[in-house]
Amino acid sequence: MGRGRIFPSALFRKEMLIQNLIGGIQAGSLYALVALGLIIIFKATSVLNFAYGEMVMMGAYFSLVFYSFLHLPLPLVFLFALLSGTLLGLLLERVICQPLQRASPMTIVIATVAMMGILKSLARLIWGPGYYALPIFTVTPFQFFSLSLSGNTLYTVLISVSFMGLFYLFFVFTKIGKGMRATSENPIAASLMGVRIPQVFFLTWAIAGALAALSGLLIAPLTGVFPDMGNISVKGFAAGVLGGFGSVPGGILGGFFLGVAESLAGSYISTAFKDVIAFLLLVAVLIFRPTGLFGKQG
Amino acid sequence: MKRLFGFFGLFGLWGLILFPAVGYSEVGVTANEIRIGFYAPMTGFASYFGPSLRNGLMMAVDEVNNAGGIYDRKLKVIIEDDACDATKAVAAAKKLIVRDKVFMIFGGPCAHSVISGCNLADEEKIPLYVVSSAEELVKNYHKYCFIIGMTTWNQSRLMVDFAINELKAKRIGIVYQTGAYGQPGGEGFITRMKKYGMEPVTTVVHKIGDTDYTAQVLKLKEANPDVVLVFSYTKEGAMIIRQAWEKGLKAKWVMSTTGNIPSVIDLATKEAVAGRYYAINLTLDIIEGPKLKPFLEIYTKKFPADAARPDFPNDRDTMAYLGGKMIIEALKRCGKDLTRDKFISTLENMGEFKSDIFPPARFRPNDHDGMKTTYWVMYDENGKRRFIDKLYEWNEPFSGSAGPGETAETIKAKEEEYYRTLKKK
Amino acid sequence: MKWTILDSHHKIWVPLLLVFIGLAAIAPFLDVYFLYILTIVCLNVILATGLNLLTGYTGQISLCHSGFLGIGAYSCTILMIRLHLPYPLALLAGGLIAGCAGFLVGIPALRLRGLYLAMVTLGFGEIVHLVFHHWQGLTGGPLGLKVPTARIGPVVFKSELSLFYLFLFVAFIFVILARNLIQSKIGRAFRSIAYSEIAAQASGVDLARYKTLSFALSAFYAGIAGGLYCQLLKYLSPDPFGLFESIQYLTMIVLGGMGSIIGSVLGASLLSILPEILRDFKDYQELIFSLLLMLFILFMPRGIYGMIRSVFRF
Repeated sequence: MGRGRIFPSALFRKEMLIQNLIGGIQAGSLYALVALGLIIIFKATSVLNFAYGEMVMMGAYFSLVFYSFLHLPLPLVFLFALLSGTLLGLLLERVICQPLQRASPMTIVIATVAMMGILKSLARLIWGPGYYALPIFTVTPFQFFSLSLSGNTLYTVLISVSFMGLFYLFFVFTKIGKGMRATSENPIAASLMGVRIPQVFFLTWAIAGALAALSGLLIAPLTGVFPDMGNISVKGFAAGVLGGFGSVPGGILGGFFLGVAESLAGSYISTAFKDVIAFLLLVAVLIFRPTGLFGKQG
Repeated sequence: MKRLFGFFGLFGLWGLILFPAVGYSEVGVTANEIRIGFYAPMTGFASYFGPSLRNGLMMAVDEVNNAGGIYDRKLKVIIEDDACDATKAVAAAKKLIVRDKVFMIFGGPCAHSVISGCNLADEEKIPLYVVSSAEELVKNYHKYCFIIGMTTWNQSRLMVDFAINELKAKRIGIVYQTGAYGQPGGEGFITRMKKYGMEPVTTVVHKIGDTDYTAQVLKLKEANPDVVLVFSYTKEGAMIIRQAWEKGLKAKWVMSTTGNIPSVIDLATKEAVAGRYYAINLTLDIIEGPKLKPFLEIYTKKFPADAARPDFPNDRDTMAYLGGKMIIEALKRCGKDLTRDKFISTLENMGEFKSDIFPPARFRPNDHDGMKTTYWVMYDENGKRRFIDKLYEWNEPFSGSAGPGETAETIKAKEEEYYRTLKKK
Repeated sequence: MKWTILDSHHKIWVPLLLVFIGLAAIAPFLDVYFLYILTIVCLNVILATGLNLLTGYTGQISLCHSGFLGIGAYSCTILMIRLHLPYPLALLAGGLIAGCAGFLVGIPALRLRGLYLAMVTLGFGEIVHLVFHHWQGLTGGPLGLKVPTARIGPVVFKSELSLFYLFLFVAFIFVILARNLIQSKIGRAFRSIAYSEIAAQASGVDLARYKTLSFALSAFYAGIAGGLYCQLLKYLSPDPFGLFESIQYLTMIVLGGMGSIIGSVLGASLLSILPEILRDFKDYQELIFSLLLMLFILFMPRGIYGMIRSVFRF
């Protein structure tokens, strides 16, 4: 027998849509954060960083160490995790970019692939192959009329959007940020104008490293911390390209767009379709509008 | 008289020539050693299984070696990695067979690795003993392959029985993971529910590695089940449960063995599981319980690094230990002349194997699926794990494993026919 | 992207023939494990050579080659099971179907370069992977598909030795084919595209035609490799046809030497054998493999063959 549906149809449909949007925005904010890190490295240093996902993973492990093993207070966990991520970014810049400055892009890509393997296997050896939970946000859901909004979702979206906003301000309004933008448009002209290219490279990887650590810190409460976390970078790439890999706001918007599209596709089409929609959209956008949905034309 | 004497003399002479050869005629067996090959994912994304299987097996092996071995032969285990990939698994198995010349192979748990290994075992006529939940291994008859699972086939059906008999479920929703692990489980749920004339109120599917389950949770909420059966990996299942709770779904959850991991509660959060979460527990007690204490103590002493990791040891360790003990028992019963065929028929005819940590396991000549009984674990109102002392055993007149001459299709037909006739009554 | 083509003018006929005959001669004396590994090497050689045609010689990146491998493998198997095609026909058909898929991917590739080309191939590869996984009626889904044993005439390819001879023979043919291709008009067109698309167009090279052709040929190679692959375990599942594997194939040609047939052979061989050699390192296999890869790349940015050339100055 059993009870019937609790919610009347129309109200439930509206609730379903809103829940999907919220879920999509949460996932999207994480994609956007990852896309941002990938984009700034690519724009400034022309490197397709396949190891970015593993930088995110290491960020999650750093957070785990500071929070669960060393029992530091949360603000310090944030600070130290971001610092560690920055250092990791700088390390990678030294190891990969410096020696391979004159190598072909393909060679650099494979170097990042090797780094991906190194980081992943190191994580497995040091912390083991299982997963750790990282419950840094309280999960008690807020009740908003008939909607449930978990603490996790709220904090994740707020923090990621804040950092992306901060970065955007930095990128557009500060001198160094302008230097980074100039380098990515035209390195030769930029250096003629007095931009120090090595400093830009240095700074780009440092910031990307910090962003990666932040991403790891935000993803970990949702998924746990485990060595294969880095796989999210594929979606991050797709989101960035969808939105427009040539532009920072484009890439960020692409992340949100992908998150929401996946959520809606999963609910309204099928859960199997949810997997594939990201790549269908990616291929479609690349065929019809390669600069991305929100990117600059031409 | 002389002729008789001559006849017996000749006979005796033959015996003298043949006798030394008899003791050493089998591959992998020497005067003082029995070589056992081992492959499991020691590296790669599934590498949390490999060390468990190895440690469990080595506990059993070291026990018997320290006691002097089997007829003065010590067991030597040669460890290889398959990275949960079928091609690599076959490479590992071939190396073990050809280079290391092992007597038998012990492996698990990835489905494609064990199925490929089994095909190879049939070809090379070498016994393969597998710790895995891959029901495909026994759905067609393989003379040389044995499985200690529990297979997805048995797990899914017993979970349905538990939900209906124990939890009095009236509206059952099912969640399963696409892939070789979850899919047979999901199908098992649906098929078994036919016995009770029931259908799932909703069927929800997801992929390994998913992190956002909004779509799935909303679908569950709409169908409003009172019990949800889940056949997924640990993380994925825990995430679904948490996200469902965040969205306001109040149901009871029953998970497969992957849910028998103590840290599920950390990822799923206490509020979501307290008093409403059950999972298959194959051992006679939960891992932190009194009956498993001796096992845990020895394990921690032998493998301190692994024991320090979260969720070690788990049921893979204990299952591998059981497997090791069964193999050792069978080897002992074979006596001094050990051959592969003898080993196989001994395993098949050994009857019930009793141990201090598992309910009885058993193979039969037409049934190489050794584990068909389970207990249960739950989280109580305070979020503490409690053992549920209710034994669920598979005792229908058909099973998920094929005997000689049967195939996957015939056993499926048998089951459906059985449910049809039940319905008519 | 500009690559340097490493061996377009080298004679590789003779050493290759020697290797082929040598392997064929000692094969009956090798054990089943050794043969299995060599069989995988032959498979990867075919794949890597095809990929190099596209990426090394024509300068177009592909992150979906494991998808073409899978299309070849599934097509060959399904044609054998459903239409009862004899193996040689099914193998060829599998290759052709993969080649068509390659052609289709080549079309959007006309307008895309670098990162964007990489991403469109990545997208395509992931879509194919998911289709293998979800279209259970056709592919058997994640539970896998049993592959019928190949036979050509009276020969049944059941034993490891017979499989090895088959793979070796096909690998040899296809490497020689690639060689001839590179030295032909088509090959010259490919190379000019890699060097400079504008210059190529200026000298009359039809970009659209040759770019899509290079994709199609490269995918055809992968498809043939797929048709062979399905005989390896006589069992097919969607797992080995993902992004990670596509990246592995790219690694093979970069490691061996892009724009070089010999490089393809070297890279494929090394990356197939290395994991087996590293078995003794047990839990550290993964780490050591990645560290070695990193060292190789840092010290040999132009691949093994590039290094050999600069050391021996030719």
